[in-house]
Amino acid sequence: MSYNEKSEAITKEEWLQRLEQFPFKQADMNRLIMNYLVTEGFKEAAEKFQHEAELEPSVELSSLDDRILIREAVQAGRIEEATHLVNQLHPDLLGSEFYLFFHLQQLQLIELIRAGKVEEALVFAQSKLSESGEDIRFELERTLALLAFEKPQESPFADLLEQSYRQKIASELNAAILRCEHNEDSTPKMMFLLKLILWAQSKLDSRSINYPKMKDLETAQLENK
Amino acid sequence: MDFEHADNDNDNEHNPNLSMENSSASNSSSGSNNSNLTAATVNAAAVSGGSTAAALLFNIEAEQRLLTDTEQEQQQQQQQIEADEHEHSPTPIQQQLPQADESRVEAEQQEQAQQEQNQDQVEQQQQEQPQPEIIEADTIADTIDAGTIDNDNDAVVERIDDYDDEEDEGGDDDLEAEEEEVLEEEEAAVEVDVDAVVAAQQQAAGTAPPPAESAAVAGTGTGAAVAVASASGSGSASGQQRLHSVAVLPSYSTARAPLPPLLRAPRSNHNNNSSTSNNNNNNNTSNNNNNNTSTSSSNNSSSAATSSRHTRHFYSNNGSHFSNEMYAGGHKSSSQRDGHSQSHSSSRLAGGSGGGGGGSGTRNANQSGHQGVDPLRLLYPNVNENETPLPRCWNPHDKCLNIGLSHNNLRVTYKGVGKQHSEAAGSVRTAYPIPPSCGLYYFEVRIISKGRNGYMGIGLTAQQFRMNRLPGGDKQSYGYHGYDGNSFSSSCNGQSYGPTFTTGDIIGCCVNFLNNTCFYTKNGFDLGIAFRDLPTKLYPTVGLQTPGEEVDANFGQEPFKFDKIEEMMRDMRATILRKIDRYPHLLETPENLMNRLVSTYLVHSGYCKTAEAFNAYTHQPFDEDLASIKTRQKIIKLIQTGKMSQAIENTLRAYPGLLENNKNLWFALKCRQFIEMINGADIEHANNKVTATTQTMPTNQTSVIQSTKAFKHSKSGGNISGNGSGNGSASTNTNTNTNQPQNNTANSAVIKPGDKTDPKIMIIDDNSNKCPEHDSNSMDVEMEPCNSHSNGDSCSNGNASVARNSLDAIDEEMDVDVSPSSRNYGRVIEKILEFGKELSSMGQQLEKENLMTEEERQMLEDAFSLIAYSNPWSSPLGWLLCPSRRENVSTTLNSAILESLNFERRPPLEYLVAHAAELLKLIGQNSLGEDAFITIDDVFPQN
Repeated sequence: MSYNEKSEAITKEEWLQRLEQFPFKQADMNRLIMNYLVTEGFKEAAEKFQHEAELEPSVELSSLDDRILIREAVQAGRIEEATHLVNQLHPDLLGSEFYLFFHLQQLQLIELIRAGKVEEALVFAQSKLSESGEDIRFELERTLALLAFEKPQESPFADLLEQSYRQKIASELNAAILRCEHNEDSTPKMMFLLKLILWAQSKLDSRSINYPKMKDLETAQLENK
Repeated sequence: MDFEHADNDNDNEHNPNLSMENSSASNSSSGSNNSNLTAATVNAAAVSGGSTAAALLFNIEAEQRLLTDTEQEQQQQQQQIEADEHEHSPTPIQQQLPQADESRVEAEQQEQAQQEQNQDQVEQQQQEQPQPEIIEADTIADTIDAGTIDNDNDAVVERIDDYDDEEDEGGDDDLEAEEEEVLEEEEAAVEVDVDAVVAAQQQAAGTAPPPAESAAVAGTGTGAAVAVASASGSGSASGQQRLHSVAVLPSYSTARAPLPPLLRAPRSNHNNNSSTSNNNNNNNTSNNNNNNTSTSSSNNSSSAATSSRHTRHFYSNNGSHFSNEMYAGGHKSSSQRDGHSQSHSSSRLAGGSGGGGGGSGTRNANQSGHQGVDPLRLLYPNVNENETPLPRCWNPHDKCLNIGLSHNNLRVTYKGVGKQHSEAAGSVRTAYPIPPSCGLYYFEVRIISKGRNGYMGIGLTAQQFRMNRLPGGDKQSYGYHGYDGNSFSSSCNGQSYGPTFTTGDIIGCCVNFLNNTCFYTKNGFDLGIAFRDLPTKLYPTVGLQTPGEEVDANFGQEPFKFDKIEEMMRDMRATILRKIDRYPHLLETPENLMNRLVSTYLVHSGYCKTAEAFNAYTHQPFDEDLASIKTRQKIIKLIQTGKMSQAIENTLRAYPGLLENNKNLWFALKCRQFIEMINGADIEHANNKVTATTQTMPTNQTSVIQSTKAFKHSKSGGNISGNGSGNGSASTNTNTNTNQPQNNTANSAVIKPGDKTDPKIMIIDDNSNKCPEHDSNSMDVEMEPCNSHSNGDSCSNGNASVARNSLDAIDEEMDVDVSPSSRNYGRVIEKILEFGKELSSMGQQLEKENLMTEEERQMLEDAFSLIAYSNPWSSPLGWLLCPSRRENVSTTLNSAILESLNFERRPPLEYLVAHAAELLKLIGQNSLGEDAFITIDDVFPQN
């Protein structure tokens, strides 16, 4: 039963108009951005942003340094170095975050495969990744499947070889470090925004309420109806 | 009928009165010598009292207590009086109100924004004849605490709220008689010495009941303020007002400080009435006579008075949102009101004793206003009561005839014959259904008496329910019945549910909109879920069936017996946040997405260097080339620093055709430019000196501060903000900003107890602070060609307006300090005026082409209105000068530029935020309940 009957049909145009008229506060938006830069460890950008937007970061930017080194190492594929740094910084972290640890090792395996070191990769997989659970085995199989292809970049599992996969793991690791350091929000607020939209849309969908759905969050385009 | 009505009526009555006086004021303003004389006399008296002034200040506190008393008295009286007032024909005074005024007032009421009103008031202030005026008692302290201890030759006359029958009938009290009266009172008040005052206060405190009169006099000698409560004498002189409070507030040139609170005070029409009609009478008479400032300041205290009254209105409105017709007795709202007035008086205490003026005082007042927030708002923060009001009491229009209501429609009594069949039952429910945006809704019912049989039902009903049943016993209703403890879900067959309940028990009913269930509590204990799958549009309902049954409801105004509601709501919020956080997002690489969103946002907003760094790191492409971003960034920056002329120039050069094809945008930019010119931010090189001079004020002040420790001590943060506002840089959109520096100094000197102020220092101090005011005075003069005052004139004008004894000293100071800059200033004024003409012709052009929107008309009007103020920063339109207003302009221009370059008007991230906000709204509209716990603000980091 609808409380407000007039909310029935909202056209895309009406909706867009509402979006246009939304009372933005630039300061809020900037804080959202700064939160992202800091949480994700984009130190240089955060510093520039601090200056350009005349905004104070929520944490000391110098505290980003360690995380930045680790992130850079992961993103550059220097997994061993990253693991080493993490262990120096937080010796217990990888022990307690098993899934994360697996992802780091998986990345290392991927790097070996990328480098064409097939035998080394097999040895590594057998020695380090053998005792794993169900979920992990699936991911491991996908990874090792890369070996079956002459050109793994063209295989169905090529996503593992992409830079974005490294970034994904880097963010995961970054979040784990943040959790371990502050016990505060380890994911950027922007992630909450994205999830909020997806959650709210599914909520409305489940009640079959009509509204212009946003499918492509990157361009913020509304679904045509 | 309740107090709002009472107040309104009173306002209506005294406003015409006020305006009449104003008209008489303007009449005699031509022969203002006369008034000057009066002024001088009073001033002399004030000076003689000056030495005792500081000591008298200690009495403010006592007096405030008294005021609180009288306020309450007034309220009670109003209650009695209001009925009469409705029936009585208007007083003669009212009839004298020019019809033209009324009609114009009505027209203006609708379109005029709050700021307008304030402006009008200021204008009125400037025009007002120096005439002793009476100020409503409960506003005096507000005035004081808002920083307006006004020196005053010219007091503001405002008739008191309470016009009772006698007055109406004997209504031939003409204005002159009144004025005389007031003069008498004033003299009496000013001459009262400390002991007398104290005695008077004691007396007043003792005999506070109705026929008491309190007079508060704030006098200045060398800047000391006196607040005197005189409980004797003059009341009998007037004889027509049962409760008569008088304030004669000698102004100390602190005129405009209290205006900021006005910004917040909700507007009401009658107030408009007074101001606009005054405006009518006095507009453009432009008597920049020597009493200018002093008059305005005194008058200003009246505006502060009105503002404070309105603030009170507002909160009590808030408290009893739609209680006007609901609360029969008005008891509830009276208690709320008392609460408010108390909070006000406490703020007065703070203001009066703690340095009184300046920003701090104002801030206190406002904060204390906020303390009166109604508990239901706190409990259900996300309910928009404009759309979905909360149930707050039983609805006298939606009940069975055999049900009686009392105690502000919170108590329900069975009045029927109580036969043992079902027809004898009767129910009552609230006026509004429970807004689903409550998320969790709870109300409690206390059983006062179970009556004969205790056949009582507590529950929820839908719209269609017929009120001659107990809730639960019929379709679309749900109830928990006392005699058997059963729950009834839309049927006369009950389910075994909980214990029975009887006299003394407190039964609570809680609706959960997330899962559409309902549970009851008994004496604070949860009885478990009673109903599931509830519809959404439900009214809290109680039903009674036998004689003597009586119950009281608590919709949240009082603390609940069951104290876990807030905790439950916190838990629910946490659950939803977790649910969202764990929502399987199905985004393969959210990092990429977010990087993209950040990058586009940075580029869009012109954060060029950040974007460069970020994109380099995240390997993202630029859609727009860097040079273009930099150009935009430069323009945005120029706007954000107020350099509008350069911004427009750059836009014209870099994006030819853009503004030419979008005249409205151009116009908006130019409006902003005009504002920035007044702000002093958009002044070209030749005029920089002037800006510099203006900006030296605070420096001067600082030196003064340093030279007198006493000052430094008593100057609090308010002063700093005052400085900032003087520069036009620190003003914020909130009300608390923009107190003139001179206010602060004057007041701090005034308030400082036992402060032995060196008069010389005072003068220097004041003088230096005076400059902005003087400057803008000259601006004022320049604006009106018909005005014969030259720049130099207005200079002395500004001087003399500082009503003090040592004018010569000031003149010297002025010569030293200000004159060098005044020539430059003249040039600035010329420029501003010249530009104003250009702007207005552009506006006319737009009008001709039918392109002008209402918004733009308002924009132009507001911008021009700024000129009317001697200190635009603290004017009601001061918000226009606030740097945060630049954001809109820069965003609009930026969007237009980007659109012309075939980019999106807004970055995707902004659309996402807006989309999320709208989705939440939609969830609320569809009663899903989650919107009670999540708002778009949860998206932004708290920092």
